[in-house]
Amino acid sequence: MRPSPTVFLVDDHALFRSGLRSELAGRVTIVGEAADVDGAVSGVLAADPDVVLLDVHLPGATGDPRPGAGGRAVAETLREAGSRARLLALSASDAPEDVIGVIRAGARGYVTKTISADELVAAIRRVADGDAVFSPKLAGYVLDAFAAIPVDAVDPDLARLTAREREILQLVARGYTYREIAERLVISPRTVESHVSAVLRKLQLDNRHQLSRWAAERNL
Amino acid sequence: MMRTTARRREESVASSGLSAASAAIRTALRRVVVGYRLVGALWLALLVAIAVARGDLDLLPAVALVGVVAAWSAVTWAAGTALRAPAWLGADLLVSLGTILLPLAEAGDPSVHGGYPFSSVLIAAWARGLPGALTAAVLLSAAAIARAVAGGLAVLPETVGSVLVYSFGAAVAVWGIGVIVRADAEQRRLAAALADERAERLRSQERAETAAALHDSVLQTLALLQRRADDPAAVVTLARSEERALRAWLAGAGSPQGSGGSPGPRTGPVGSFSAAVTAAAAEVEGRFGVRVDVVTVGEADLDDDLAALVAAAREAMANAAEHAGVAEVACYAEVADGRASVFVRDRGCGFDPTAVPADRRGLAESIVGRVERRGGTAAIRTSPGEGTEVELALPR
Repeated sequence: MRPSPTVFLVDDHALFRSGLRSELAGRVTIVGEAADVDGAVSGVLAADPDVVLLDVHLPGATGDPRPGAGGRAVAETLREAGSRARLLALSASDAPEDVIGVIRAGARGYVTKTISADELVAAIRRVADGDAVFSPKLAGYVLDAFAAIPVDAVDPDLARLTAREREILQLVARGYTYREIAERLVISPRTVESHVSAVLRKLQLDNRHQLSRWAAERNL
Repeated sequence: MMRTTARRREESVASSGLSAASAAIRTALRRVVVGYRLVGALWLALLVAIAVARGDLDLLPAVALVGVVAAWSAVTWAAGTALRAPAWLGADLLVSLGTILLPLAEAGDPSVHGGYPFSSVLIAAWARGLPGALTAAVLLSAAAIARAVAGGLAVLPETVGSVLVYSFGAAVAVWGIGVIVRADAEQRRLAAALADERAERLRSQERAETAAALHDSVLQTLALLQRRADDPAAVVTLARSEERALRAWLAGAGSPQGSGGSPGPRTGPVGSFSAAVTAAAAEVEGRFGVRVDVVTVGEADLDDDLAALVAAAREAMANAAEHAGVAEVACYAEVADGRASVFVRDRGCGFDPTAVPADRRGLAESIVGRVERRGGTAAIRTSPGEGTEVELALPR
């Protein structure tokens, strides 16, 4: 059995952090926690965890009062600092632009706070292995975002999903696990994984302008 | 803060005149001033024509003078706001001085410049306020006096008239422009104050409404939680439906009325497809105490066809909640590529579709039939132990 991944918790609600701690106890190794942007950045850089569970709606982002700016700031600062920790965004928020924003800043997945402990542990392990974790909700947001990008986009390869990627995202949004998707499409779970990772890469590389326009059109 | 802004605005009116005026007023004043310039040019042309007819003026210099004045008037009309630059004003004043001073006619003949030079006073007043108007008036008066000195007594009354018109005209023009600019600034200040006040009133009204709605919703939920504390499933359902309502409220989608009524097509479908699916899911959650996770992609206005699709989806969710024996149901709704689809999936016990007795009309009638009557398709994937997925699609 693999050693349990080391995890750092970032959430401004102490109650939620302690809840997470007790739920995850014994299944992953929690190496630290923080309640704001600065604490998260210094804590993660010091503890060097495998995975950071990052609250999207984190206060303490300097000069940017938008909700979702805090999580994004942590992700961006850690990336610039060259941290090897992989980020899993976790939020009660349903606002698409916050979620997409944190993903684009470098998070490798997004799950909602209503996720069960078992699913959360599975998601942490998957992110620790370098894979992408698309919850049904995130899959829906991503499909929406790509659908809104005009056909004459600057870089069509980056701006569009392949038919296969779209099909897989739809199945994720419909509540299928990667294993179930693999069975259904008669491909290996690894292939499903690599399609999902490709979508994540497109999201993170795509021309910033296009996705901001998507956000603007939705009045976000 | 508003008061200081207003005071600053007043100060700038007093100090720099025109610069405090709105763009619309500045443009209107420029049109009036340059418009008078065109009248002055016409006036001059008329006097020149009379002088030629009387034999006081030769044809060639007459045509030259009218040509220059007409051309310059056209240029000042076209120059727009560039006219405010000192170089432009200087050139303008030179042309006006020329119409007074050039010895075109015999000394002692009546002048031909008419009202044209005064337009330079107006333009200077418009561009530079009192100093500009005074400069122009003094220079033009000096030119008129110089002409009188050369022409003798015959032109004296005309000279006195000119000097009076230039100096009083300058004062009146500056005063008039000042009045208009101040009135405009005052009007804009009042409009801004009114808009501020209205926005503030709307904001506080909105705050009050939000507070009232949230209080209602939250207090009611807390009361219910206390009364149902012995029933964890009910508490979870309650918390879940209140969370959903609060989210919808925060997203600006409506009032926090809990898991409200169904979007029944009887009253005519209104609203959006995704909101209707979400509402249907909330209703099922409230009724059966299971969690329904909804993901929607794309959007469409609800019509009769889509309302039927939502109604079928609600039945599918209710079926899953009632029979699958699970705590969670997933619902995915999508509008894309010319069709609307809904997938309702559970990981429950599943069933054998061929073994459903013919008298059980739920599946056939309220799910499959509903969609097929609208030209859509319904597919059910299930087998015992494998969970169930209902796929509903309507072409659009």
